[in-house]
Amino acid sequence: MTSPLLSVDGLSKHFPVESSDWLASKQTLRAVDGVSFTLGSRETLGLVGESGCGKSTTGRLILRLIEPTAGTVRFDGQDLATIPKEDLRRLRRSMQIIFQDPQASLNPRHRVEDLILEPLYAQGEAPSAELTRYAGDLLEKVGLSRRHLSRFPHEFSGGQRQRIGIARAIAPKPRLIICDEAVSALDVSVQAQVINLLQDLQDELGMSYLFIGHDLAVVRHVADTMAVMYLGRIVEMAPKDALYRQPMHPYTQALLGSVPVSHPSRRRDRKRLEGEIPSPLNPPSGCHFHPRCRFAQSVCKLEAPALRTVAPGQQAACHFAEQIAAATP
Amino acid sequence: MTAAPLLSVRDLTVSFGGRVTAVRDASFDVRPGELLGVVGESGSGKSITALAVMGLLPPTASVTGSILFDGQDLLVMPRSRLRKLRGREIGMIFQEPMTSLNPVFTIGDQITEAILVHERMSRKAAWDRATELLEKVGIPAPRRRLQDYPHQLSGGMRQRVMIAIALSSSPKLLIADEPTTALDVTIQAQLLDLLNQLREDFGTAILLITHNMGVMAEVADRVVVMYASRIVEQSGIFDLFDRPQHPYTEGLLGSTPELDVDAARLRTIVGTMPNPSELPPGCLFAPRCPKVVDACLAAQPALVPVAPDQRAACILAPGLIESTP
Repeated sequence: MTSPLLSVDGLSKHFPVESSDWLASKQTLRAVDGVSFTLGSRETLGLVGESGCGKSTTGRLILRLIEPTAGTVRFDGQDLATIPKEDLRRLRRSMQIIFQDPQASLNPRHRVEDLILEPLYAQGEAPSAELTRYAGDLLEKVGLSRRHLSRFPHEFSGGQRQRIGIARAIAPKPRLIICDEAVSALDVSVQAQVINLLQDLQDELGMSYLFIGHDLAVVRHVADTMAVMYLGRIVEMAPKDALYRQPMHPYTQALLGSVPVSHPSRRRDRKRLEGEIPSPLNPPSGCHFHPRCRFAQSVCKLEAPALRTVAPGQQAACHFAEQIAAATP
Repeated sequence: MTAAPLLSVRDLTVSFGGRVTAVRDASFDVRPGELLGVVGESGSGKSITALAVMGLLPPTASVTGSILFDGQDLLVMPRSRLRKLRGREIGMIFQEPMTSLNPVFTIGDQITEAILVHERMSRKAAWDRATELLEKVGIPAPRRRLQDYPHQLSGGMRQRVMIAIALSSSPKLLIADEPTTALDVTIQAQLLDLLNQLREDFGTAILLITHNMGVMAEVADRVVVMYASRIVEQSGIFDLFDRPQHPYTEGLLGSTPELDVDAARLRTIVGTMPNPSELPPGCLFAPRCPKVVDACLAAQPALVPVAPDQRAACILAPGLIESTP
């Protein structure tokens, strides 16, 4: 078996939080708390969860846009924390990110050509006629025209700007792209175009995607494997079909049960998840999900369940995953 | 079977500065107790339509047509009467409840204020009624929550407070403009359940504006589909999903990824919505339509019946072709 392209082990980010009460002890916000997964070449891992679950922070930790508190990130077998600076620079070419809001991530004063070639300039390459031609090729690859090279971001629609963001991400020929809510801000017809584009580019260029999103239907559509996060931890990870067919963690079940139906004939009374996500500053003891879980028992308050294999290829962090799955067809 | 409509919008046209027309010739009804959804993408005119019904368009907007609520035309009504009607008989909720709530007053102050505007009662009685309302919209420990300020509540809780305020006068019609768009999916599901429950308990009719076809599938009885300022299809929810008559509706359904259906590839609609100041001739959807023929470019097709309780603005609508011998 070949080693994975990306291997994340025990990744954590704890933010110290100043309390308004100076007598109180300093609090710690565990935004990401011991996240581990691997991502193979040409694969897509979908990372889903609700606001504040730590999915975006996880993406940023992998790229070291923020420094992790603990854990290791290996890319192509190399530990990003310990490799020499020069090698890290080189590796950075291979890891790119696409953000949610292309309006905010494209400098409004730069022309499209410079925006697209920015990652190459950052690597020390100098502007040249050849690079201009390359930028034009990239624009055509993402469905725009090379006539657009000299335009500014404001001259484009939201969907077109996201295509520019994609052209920039693929410019250094990366092997991994982190898509952080990359299609969330787009209208549905434009979103579908961009999703298809991302899939075509993956087929053609063979990149891996870490696809972070809150829309389960979108993420399921693009992902091979899905990981569900809740309050900083992965609670379930499985091939997408298994996760959808037989979710083993009660939170995954509740999350799937909340997604609007795709046809009015599938309307049904569903067990809704009660209450809201607790504050990550003061998460519940043991299993973070226990106060909202209808299967919770006393052990759930005391012991945080480890992420373990509960079915072939399927991992869940629940003390009673097998029993719950058997009880909920 | 069909009762007289509660809200009847006819030939509604809204333009700004005479140059940009945001809504053209929109006609639709909301029947008592039903949930009518208006679906469309950014720039379709769906939110402007809602604002027009609420009488909340800025003074720069010019509005023609008629909006009959219980037989009275809201567009010609004196502002003072409109204000009374709004709030008492028509409730409203918006996408971002934080901007609709006053940050310096408690939740209790704001709900009781809304109650006292429309009903004469003591502050104490109003406070009790506010507690009841919060309980009804599913807020735990309602009496304590009344003392909270908006910032102390989560987004989902704030939206529940807005619904409580909208319900304070038992309105006949609730207008909800993207009420769940800013919320997480589990909270969205809770709120959609709540809207359904309100319909059951009070018979409130709901006009729900959304961009999300899944939300429609979940709660709507009938749907109006808007594209680039025009209604392109109007249909019962089942026919809309089973037999969409307008190619834009079909495209919208094909573009939406589905959790329970495996598709290797999403069907898409090519191109983007036209700029409102440079509209194409003929059918506004023609430049993006996979079925376009020459006749489509000649004139804007009217919204005509193509099946029972289904209308479409397309000369190629299957229902239209089947019914002509």
